[in-house]
Amino acid sequence: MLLIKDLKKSYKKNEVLNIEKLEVPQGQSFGLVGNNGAGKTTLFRIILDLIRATSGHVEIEGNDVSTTEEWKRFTGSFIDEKFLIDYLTPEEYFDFLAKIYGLSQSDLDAFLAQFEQLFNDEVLGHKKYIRDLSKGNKKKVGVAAALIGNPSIVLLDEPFENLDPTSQIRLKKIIDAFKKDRNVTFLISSHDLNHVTEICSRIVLLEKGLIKMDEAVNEQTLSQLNAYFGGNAVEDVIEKGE
Amino acid sequence: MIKHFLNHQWLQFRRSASFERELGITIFIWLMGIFVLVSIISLANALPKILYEIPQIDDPIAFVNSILIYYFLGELLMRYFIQKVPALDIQPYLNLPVTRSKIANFLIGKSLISAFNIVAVLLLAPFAFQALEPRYGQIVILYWLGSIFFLSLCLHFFNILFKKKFEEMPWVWAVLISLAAGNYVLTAYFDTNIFGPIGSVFQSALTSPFLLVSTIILCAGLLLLTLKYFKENLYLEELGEASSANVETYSEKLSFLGKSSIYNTLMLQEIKMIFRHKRTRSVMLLSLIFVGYGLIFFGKDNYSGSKGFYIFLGIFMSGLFTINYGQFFWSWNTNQLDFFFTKPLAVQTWLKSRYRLLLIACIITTFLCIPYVYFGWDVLFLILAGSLYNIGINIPLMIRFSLWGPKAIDLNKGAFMNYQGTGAAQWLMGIPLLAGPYVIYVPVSQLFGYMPALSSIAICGILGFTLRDYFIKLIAQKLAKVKYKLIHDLTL
Repeated sequence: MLLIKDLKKSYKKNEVLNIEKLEVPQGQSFGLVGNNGAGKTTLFRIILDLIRATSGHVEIEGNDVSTTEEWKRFTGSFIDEKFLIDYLTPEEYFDFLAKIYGLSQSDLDAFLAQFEQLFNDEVLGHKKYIRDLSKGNKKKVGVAAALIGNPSIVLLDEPFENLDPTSQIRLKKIIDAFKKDRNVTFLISSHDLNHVTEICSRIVLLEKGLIKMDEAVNEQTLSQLNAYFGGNAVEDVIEKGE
Repeated sequence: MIKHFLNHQWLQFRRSASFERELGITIFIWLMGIFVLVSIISLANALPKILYEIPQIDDPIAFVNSILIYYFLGELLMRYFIQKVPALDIQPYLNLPVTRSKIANFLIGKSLISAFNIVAVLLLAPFAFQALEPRYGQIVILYWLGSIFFLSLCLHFFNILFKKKFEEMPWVWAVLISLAAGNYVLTAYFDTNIFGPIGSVFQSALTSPFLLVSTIILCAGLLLLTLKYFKENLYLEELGEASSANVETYSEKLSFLGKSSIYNTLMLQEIKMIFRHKRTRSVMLLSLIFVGYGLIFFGKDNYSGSKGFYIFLGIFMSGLFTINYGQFFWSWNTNQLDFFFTKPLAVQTWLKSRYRLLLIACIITTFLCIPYVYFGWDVLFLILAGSLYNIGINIPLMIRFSLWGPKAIDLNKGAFMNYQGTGAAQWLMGIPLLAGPYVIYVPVSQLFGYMPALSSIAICGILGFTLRDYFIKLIAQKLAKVKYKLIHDLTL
């Protein structure tokens, strides 16, 4: 499980994140929504200890991320293309990851077999560097890489962006399978309210670094979110009109 | 439009993330620049006097004309290594209604504002007025200085074209190397050379405007070519290089590394990085070429007196890759740190594998230097001592120093317009690397002589090597402290 306590991040005097407490139990799929600049990616990068929190701390299964390294063994992540090593071919990249996670060749083959449909014959076996793949295919490689090595918690930033509709549906199936079969905790941030309410059981809405909404997903959630973001837009219009 | 370009350039310089961090270094470089300028002006003033006072020179004018060609060769070399190709991030302007030729004109125009373009004239103007005028009259000063000025400009454009277009072509290098080698052979064995006759062309400027006219034509031609090249490449470069088709395969021969320990896997990954980027490849090639550097010095009597200089050679030749590659040790990992810091991979493991790569590079270079045994066993011993010192002391030093304000390098950008990551820090870094051995050498050689001094350098290296795990631990501790800043600085 993931525990965030008294987490604050500010740049000079500008506070971009302030989360008093957030707990994500094992196996929950957690959706993070919010407009640009709400602090979603900042939160993810702090959870992965890529930026230093101004105060507070993050624990993954009891390990403080900024003082231990244990958590890296069971935390998968894909935030952006910088998580890929783009001068390797996808095969080389997966081989390299398998080595780091201590997977045998047959483990790796079995793992990659799950992604055969998603990859749609466009990723493997083309003798192409990752940097020469399309944005969508890079995303597929990155998401697969985040799931390698039997993680118990996976962070994905905008996993559906740049994917074609078919791939979006296939990816949702894969995420569902990992949830069901292995009780993996997912943290997914997305601007796509349909997808995120569909695959997540809990939604947290961030605005300007603060949690504005935190509830379990039900039939009303999507319309609630639409109303929230739509309301913002309407308010803007009214404010400008005055 | 030009006004806007200039303004944007200034803002880009002023607002760059590194501006304040590197202010000190920038000021230092400016001071150095002023010092060089003052030196050139005083040398220019003293030049006529010096030339007329050297008794071996019968005719200073003919002498100057005969060595001018070497001056220009030197200038070309300097330009190649120091002068930056004009750059402006053109992407945001391409979709605006600004014509390509305007952008190209601006870039070329800006490049003309360079100290290199006036150094030759500045240096020779006093000489021309004092020596040429009394003998040949005023118009000849125009012919002569004019030819020199335009030839310098020709070099300017040639350098830009060369860096952009020809540098990538192996045959250009082959021609250049065979020219240089041919000239060397001619001078050494046939007592003649290629440049002598070419040099005498300058003498013709004393009698006719022929040279002036031809340099102007040549310069105009090169200018047009450069403009044309710029205009065309404003398209090509930015609309994506289609590099997809071929994947480099040399590293496949090393794939056995990936099947053994994690250290070797990491090493293989880094070797792939080196093979698959232009920047890193050129570092590797340069290191190979410099293995031949010793040929200039070894076996020549006039250098055998200065044994101290040999220490530098020993360190330099066996450690060239270490120094060249190591100075950007962390910068090479630009945009890869997110990956490495989120994977279950201990920093020490990563460091150890990279240490191993540099170690192997050092050993390979040392092996390549073995033929120097031709100049005597002491030369081989010298290189061995240098190599051991590099392995034990300089590699960890390099890894540590390159944490010192590293700058991001975009590996995917070609050599085109790309001199990223280089700063004065890289120069300052070289001082302890090359001066370090002298701290041992000078006192020991004063007390016990040359060979004991060499041996103590080697012993230091061996000591450093046995302490490598400790050094790596220290670097890993430092890395843990600067991790967030490093990730921030090395993300593009």
